[in-house]
Amino acid sequence: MKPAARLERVYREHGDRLWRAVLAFAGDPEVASDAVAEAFAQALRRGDEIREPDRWVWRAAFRIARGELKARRDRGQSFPLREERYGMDTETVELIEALRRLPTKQRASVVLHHGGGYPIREVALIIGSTPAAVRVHLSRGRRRLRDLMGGDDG
Amino acid sequence: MADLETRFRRLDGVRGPDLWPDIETREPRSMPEAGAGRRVAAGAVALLLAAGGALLVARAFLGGDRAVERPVRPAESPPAPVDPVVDVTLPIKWPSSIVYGEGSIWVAASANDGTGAGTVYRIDPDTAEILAEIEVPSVPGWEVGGGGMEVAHGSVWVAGYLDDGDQGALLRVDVATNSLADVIPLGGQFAGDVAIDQHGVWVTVFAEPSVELVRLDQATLTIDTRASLDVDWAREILAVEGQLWVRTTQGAISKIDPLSGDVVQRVDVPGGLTSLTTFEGAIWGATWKASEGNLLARIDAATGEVVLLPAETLGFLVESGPSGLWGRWDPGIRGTLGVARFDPASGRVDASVALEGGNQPVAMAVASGSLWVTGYEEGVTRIELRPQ
Repeated sequence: MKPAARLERVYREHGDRLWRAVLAFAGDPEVASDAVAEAFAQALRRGDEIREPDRWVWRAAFRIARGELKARRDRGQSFPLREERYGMDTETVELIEALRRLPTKQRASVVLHHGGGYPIREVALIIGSTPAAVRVHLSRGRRRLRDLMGGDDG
Repeated sequence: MADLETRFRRLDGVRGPDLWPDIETREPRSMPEAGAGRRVAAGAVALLLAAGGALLVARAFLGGDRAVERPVRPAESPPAPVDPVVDVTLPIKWPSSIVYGEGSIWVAASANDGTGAGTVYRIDPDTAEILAEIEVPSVPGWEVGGGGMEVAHGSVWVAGYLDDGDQGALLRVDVATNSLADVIPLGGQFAGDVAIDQHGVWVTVFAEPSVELVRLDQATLTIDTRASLDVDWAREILAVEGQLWVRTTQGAISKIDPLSGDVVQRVDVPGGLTSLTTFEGAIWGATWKASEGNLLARIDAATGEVVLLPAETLGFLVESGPSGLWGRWDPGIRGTLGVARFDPASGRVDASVALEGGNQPVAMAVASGSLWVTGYEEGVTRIELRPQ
């Protein structure tokens, strides 16, 4: 299979889930769309040199989104969530708003683990951290979300 | 977290745009290759090594004239009320020493394989994230109480040994690169403690027939003073207010002439000492007298004058930092041990927290918004200091 065709298959299998995860992480659909498109475009350009394109695009998309959020912070910009275009219900909006209030690595850990279904070791690889640190991020992130959303923690 | 999982599943109902047409036609922006940062860092390290002599000279100019003592709170500002809350325990095995400096918590942990080697962990004090793990050939070997490690001028200094205990050594970890930068053999058998002041890097070296106090030039890392302390045991080196003291017996500290390394004064503390730290320009110790129970000793760094304060619940350990003067807390309740902050004016406890399961804190480090405690066999616990 040619690299472009292989990558399109990865996009069709992972693209939507990845977009939602980056949306939950970034809190902005525009950032999510740009980060996912840019990650796949980068992967497309690299062709055969990427051995695990699915893992690669997840890592790249989160890194790009993180960079964009930092650039916005540095510019003093903040964007309201434009949920109406994506048919989000109130609880989903509440989740994304709560996630936006977590520190970056806590948010990434929660989104990748609880939203993306990645095991802790994979989360550590994607966000460039250690499994022990991811456990701490998850524990704190869940606690903070519970406080913010008022839900039970099961 | 059932509620959170459910909320994420609701997110599954949100449909994103089809980005593939954009992906196919998009001109990618430049993005650093994975690992490029590491390669740059490795190159920088190579350059640093190549230019070692020049940089050592530069370091002397950058940091040579600054006295380094533990951070202290100005005496006129009372400690802000805090509510200490046990936060998280990192499962680090065999932690032997812990210090706070350069914005990080540093933990030395033994490999416990008989070689003396181990790992220095760098931890973010705010998030408890392990930022780096640095393999080192030796870690401080004190059973309890920590010590043997200090942070100053962009370096973590570790007292240890080489060659199966046939040679004391000082290790330098570069904070900028999170890597072992220097291993300096010191003779003797092993190094006990390290402190840094405006005169250089001071290390106690256990040797025959006496413990020696060695001073290294910070710029060249060569030994420029070596003096016998005329004792067979020594513990903390304390650099405070331009003065240098070393605990030379269980119950006495000795003032050192910083130019010659010679002992110029000895102060005996009634009841003996189990732990020492520096805080607000003075030396503070944990002590005990049969007639009065546990006491906090304040020793004037300039004169050696000792003032004892009642501190009924103070255990054997004291430590200080930006958040105050803390110690091991033993309230006399069976199975309850923890840490507490002691008012330096009265010795009274103004904040305390018990550690789960009666875990015995064996060493501590005090950061700005958190307190860190090591267990004996395992565990580095973060205690959050919440403002009241």
